[in-house]
Amino acid sequence: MKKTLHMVAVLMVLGFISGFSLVRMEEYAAPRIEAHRREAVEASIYAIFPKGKSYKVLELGGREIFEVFGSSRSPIGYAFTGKGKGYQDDIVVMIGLYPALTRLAGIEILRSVETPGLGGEIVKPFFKNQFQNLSASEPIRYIVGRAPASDSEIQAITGATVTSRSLVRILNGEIEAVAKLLRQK
Amino acid sequence: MTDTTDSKHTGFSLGSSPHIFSHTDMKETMRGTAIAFLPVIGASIYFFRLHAAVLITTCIITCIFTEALCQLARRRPVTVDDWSAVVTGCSLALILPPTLPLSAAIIGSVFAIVVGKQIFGGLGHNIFNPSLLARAFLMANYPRWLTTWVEPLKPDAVSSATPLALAKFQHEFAALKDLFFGNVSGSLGETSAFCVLLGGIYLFYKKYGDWRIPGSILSTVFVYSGILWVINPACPSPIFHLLAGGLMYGAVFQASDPVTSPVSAKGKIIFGIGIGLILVTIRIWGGLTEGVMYAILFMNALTPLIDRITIPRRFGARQSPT
Amino acid sequence: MIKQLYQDWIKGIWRNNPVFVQLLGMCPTLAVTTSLINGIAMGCATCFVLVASSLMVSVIRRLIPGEVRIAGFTIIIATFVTVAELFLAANFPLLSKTLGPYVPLIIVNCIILGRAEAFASKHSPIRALADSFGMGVGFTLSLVLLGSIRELFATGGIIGTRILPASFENWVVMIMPAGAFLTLGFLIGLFNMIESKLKSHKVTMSQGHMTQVKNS
Repeated sequence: MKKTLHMVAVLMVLGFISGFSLVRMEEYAAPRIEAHRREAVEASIYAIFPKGKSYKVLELGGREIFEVFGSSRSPIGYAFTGKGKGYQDDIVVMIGLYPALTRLAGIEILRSVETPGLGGEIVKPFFKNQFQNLSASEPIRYIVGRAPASDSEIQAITGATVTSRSLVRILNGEIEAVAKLLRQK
Repeated sequence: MTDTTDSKHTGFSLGSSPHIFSHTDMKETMRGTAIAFLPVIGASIYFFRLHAAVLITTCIITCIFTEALCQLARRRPVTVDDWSAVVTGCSLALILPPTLPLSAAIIGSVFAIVVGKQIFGGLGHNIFNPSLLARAFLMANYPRWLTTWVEPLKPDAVSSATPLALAKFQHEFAALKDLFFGNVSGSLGETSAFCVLLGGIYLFYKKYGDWRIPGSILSTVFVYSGILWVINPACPSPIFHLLAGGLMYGAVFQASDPVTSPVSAKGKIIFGIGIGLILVTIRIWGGLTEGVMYAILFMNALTPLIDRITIPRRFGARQSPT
Repeated sequence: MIKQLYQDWIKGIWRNNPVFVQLLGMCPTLAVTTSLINGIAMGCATCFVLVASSLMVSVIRRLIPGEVRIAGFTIIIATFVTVAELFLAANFPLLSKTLGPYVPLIIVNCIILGRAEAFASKHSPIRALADSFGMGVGFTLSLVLLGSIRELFATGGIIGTRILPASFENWVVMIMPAGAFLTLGFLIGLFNMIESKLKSHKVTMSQGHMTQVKNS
């Protein structure tokens, strides 16, 4: 009995000390971690809207939409994140729409673990720049084998059709949902 | 080395050869395999011209050199005259895209000999087919180079997609005649099913390889893809599956490698069925267009297990009188 | 005493190297060594946890009953790992993102529990400190070696500066786990080869010495 009490007591003390230290550490770290997260989100917003100077967070339909402002009072665009399954794992992308909701301002990849050299190329400027000024009034299509012909087509990465297809699928889904929310506003 | 003991007379059951590896026997088998490659080499040069000739030569020479160097470093006798390095080099070159830069071909050949054979102890001791292993390495290393293809007969002009890629992503099916004779894009050796068959007939007629493995692979692919095709006619037909991609080539030349496949007849059939199942599954549902390489490598890994299941444990066990 | 401490420390670097000899901690070794910086970061984080937890285990070694020692060690290790993880996330967000889930996985890194159980719980704090620090340094050096080789072939350079000629086409496989396994395998082989050469050299040296003694 005494032995059991001893064991319980030791583990309790260890647990208490551990818990206490971790709470203090969390108090120190949490605000900094949140600040870093904000910074990453902001960096991607301003990468899509280079003329942007500030933004307001809108809570619509359960998601965060960033209304981006430049030097004037009216918004220069909207930014929101999209997430979905890629080839290897989830892809997280920041999407920018111009205020008319008919054209994309651009995209930034926030998270991607696709195959380096193939699907991993989606973070490169040559791929991302295709989305600048792309038409958003109809679903975006990825093209294999020939050059894109219309306003809503982009060139898939050779050898990374699945990644390209997944990204386009994520974009179409998110754009449609957010555009609907914004029009209702 | 053939199975000449009639089990009915002796009451013993004997698995098919090879049971022991010796260099003199291997030399004949290897040389025969090299000869069996000739129709395929011919087709590759016809369709891909200089690319084919240069790639094949580079791979063979690199393999010979590397094997000699490795054996010298390990202080073993140099046995490049047993033609096995030639076969490995040839086998590797024929599964590479025609426009692959030579640096990659050289690195691949070195990898095939060093990691594919010598590290395991030399000829007869490797677990995986060396040329497939090297291709898997190159695929991981240079993904863009290994997925760039050109059209046959004008290889310097147009880049194109392989028949399997076209079927998978754009639902376009190449003509069966083209697939059979080789007028499609693909790696050097896989395009002409006709020439692969010629080489295969020579191989099995001379008993340098066991027909059971390609037989079971092709039958499994035919049946499995046939079932899928009946359920959903939008899928490629079984004949398309048989003729397109590296299936013919892999089944005849690479899966039948006696070192990396099971010893017993039953084991060989199980081996072939496994390859066929994995292959079709990758082709239909996987992200890749071609599944031959990984299917064979996977079954290579399972070969010791298959051997353990299918080989009778006691030597000289008497068959029950039936 | 100093000599003993030195022995405790040095064995973690070569003779009992956790990665190349004991083959422990394979998971982070293979997963995060995609570059030299990542190797250093993971090595340092693991070293911190190793030293801190070994020290603490050694200090309270007479207070923990034997039956609950593993549970106790794990609480201690987990606490230090979480502290390290939070510190990394707060001050080095980029590194934290690259190392990702492998920082919390330090808890199950066999080296830490292994040293706690095999050494720290049976020796004085000062010796536990020497032993764990040696293991930590050995681990970090191994990761740095592996990381720099992989980074060199995968990007053509180290720490961002290009070393190989521009005509060198990057080896994508080196970024992937397959490249990690291959490199690690070759390094272990190299390690063993050097070790056996040193050993045979020592034997011939001592044989020569014995003949000398016999003749004199």
